[in-house]
Amino acid sequence: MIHLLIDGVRAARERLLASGLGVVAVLAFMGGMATILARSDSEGTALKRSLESEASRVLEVRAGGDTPTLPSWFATTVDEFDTVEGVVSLGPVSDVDHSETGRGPLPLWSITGGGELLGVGRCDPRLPVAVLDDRALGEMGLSVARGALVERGGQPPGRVLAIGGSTRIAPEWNRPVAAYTTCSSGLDEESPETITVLVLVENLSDVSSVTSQLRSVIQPIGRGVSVISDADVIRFRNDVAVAAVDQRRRNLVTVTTALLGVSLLIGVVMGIARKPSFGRLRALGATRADLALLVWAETTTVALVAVSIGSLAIVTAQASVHPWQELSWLPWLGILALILAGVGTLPAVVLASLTDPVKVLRQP
Amino acid sequence: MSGRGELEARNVSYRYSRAGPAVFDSVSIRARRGELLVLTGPSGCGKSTLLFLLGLMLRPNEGVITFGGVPLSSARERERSRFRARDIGFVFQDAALDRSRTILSNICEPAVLNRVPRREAVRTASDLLDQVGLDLPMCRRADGLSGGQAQRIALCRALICNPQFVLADEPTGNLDAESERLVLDRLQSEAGSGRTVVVVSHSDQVKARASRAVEIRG
Ligand SMILES: Nc1ncnc2c1ncn2[C@@H]1O[C@H](COP(=O)(O)OP(=O)(O)O)[C@@H](O)[C@H]1O
Ligand SMILES: [Mg+2]
Repeated sequence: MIHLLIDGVRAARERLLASGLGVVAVLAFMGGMATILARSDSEGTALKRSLESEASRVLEVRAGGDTPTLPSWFATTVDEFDTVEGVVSLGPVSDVDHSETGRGPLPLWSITGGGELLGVGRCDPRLPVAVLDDRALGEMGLSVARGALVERGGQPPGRVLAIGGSTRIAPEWNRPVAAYTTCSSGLDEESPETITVLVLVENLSDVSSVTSQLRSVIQPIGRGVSVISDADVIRFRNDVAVAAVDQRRRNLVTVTTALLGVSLLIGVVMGIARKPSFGRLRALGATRADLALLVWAETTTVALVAVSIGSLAIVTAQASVHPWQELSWLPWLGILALILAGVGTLPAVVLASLTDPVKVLRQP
Repeated sequence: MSGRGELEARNVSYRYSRAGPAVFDSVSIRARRGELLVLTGPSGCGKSTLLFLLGLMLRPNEGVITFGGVPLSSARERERSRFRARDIGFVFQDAALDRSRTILSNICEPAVLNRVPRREAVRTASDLLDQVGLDLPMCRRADGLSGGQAQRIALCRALICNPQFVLADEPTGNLDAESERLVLDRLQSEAGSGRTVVVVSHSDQVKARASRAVEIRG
């Protein structure tokens, strides 16, 4: 068996050297596929960009549901949209026990310190957020006024936008919790025209109360708050997700088609071109299995060469439109290429095994 | 009783399709070890067909083909293929070389099928090329060769696994006189060294070399 495989590879090498033309043709084909791929990708990228700029103009509102922790999409959303400048969080977004008050889970960020300058612990330093529980604050002997500076580990202090005591968070909490955000730079006349804030609320009905409180803080400095509906948010998020998934799927389909196409093409072209060889080999005593092995090894070797060249073209095309860290799927491309090179040549193997030596030998 | 190296077709009938005419009916023929048997006959009388039957590429509708007394015409496909690879050297009319492969790879095809170690096959190939008087680099591609050169390479390929039986279908059909002489020399000396050689030809040159000539009638 190894003899046959080795000779198949040897045959491929001899043939490849013999036909520079074949290689050039394959190269051209793969180059074309790579270009198509790169273009379809840049379309996806453009779509994503437009969605991002859309995002910077909305105040995103989201119902928190009964998830006690930050929803999983939260971090990615904030990462993805660097235009997001603040987060308003209402409700139990953490399962961290608040030992100081002994009252069970508190919001993710707890207050330390006192007086004018408060520190907020456990805050993701990337997020300009403060979540204040006024009753907890009271029990801790702290008082926080609207406009107070809130310091978060190492970050520039933020300012508390508003405090309200009227929002019911969750049935088991059954008490007012005010949870308001700061803006990373503080909020004043120099704040940017549009501030995008993610609002996490337990109930959608809380949105209006949050909005009106935000408005009362923001209006004095000449900024407005616009709220988009939950449905819009969901649609927006879906669009982003669908775009991303679509892009990935499209990439996969294009790459698979290209690689499989090339292997198939090579297999079938070589299969037809070599039909007389198959007949001769059968006449010389190759069993159907021998022939299948020989042909498979040979066409797969050629396909591998072609597919490697093609993959290189795809990588080049991709690297020209994407940063490297977005190309984590490239190793999979390699594995896919290997598999498809082997699979794509199977029709040639079938073709070969069907060859009738006598018929072929009779053809002049 | 059939001896070693004896190739015999007994009462063989063959038709290409069930409804079609019989190419021949109840033909018997025997080639002995060390013999150069020549099959002649008009074009279309079924010489190639008979050689394909003897070469185990076709199965007779009736009758049996034996090699050294062993009936192989009814053996399983795989067994027939193996026997063909190991014990039969086939020379095709037009050399049938793979032009995009090297001379060496062409000669070694049966060796690969017989799992002969590469090193050994290369050595044998080199010796055979010397014996047929070809002074070509083995790593050269089998392209742009003269008919005589190609047919001598094909002969080396037929002989590389030291087969007991050599079957040739009009091996000198397209050759000039000098090439024909070289190829026939080789076939004759193969018979002389104890192989069983069956050649299909209507050439007088070939018949002149035959131990025995059998005329096939359509
Ligand atoms: N594949 C085939 N199907 C049907 N008939 C065939 C086939 N091959 C050959 N024949 C017929 O069989 C007969 C013998 O052919 P062949 O053995 O090639 O003769 P020869 O080699 O003596 O010229 C011819 O009449 C030919 O037409
Ligand atoms: Mg013929």
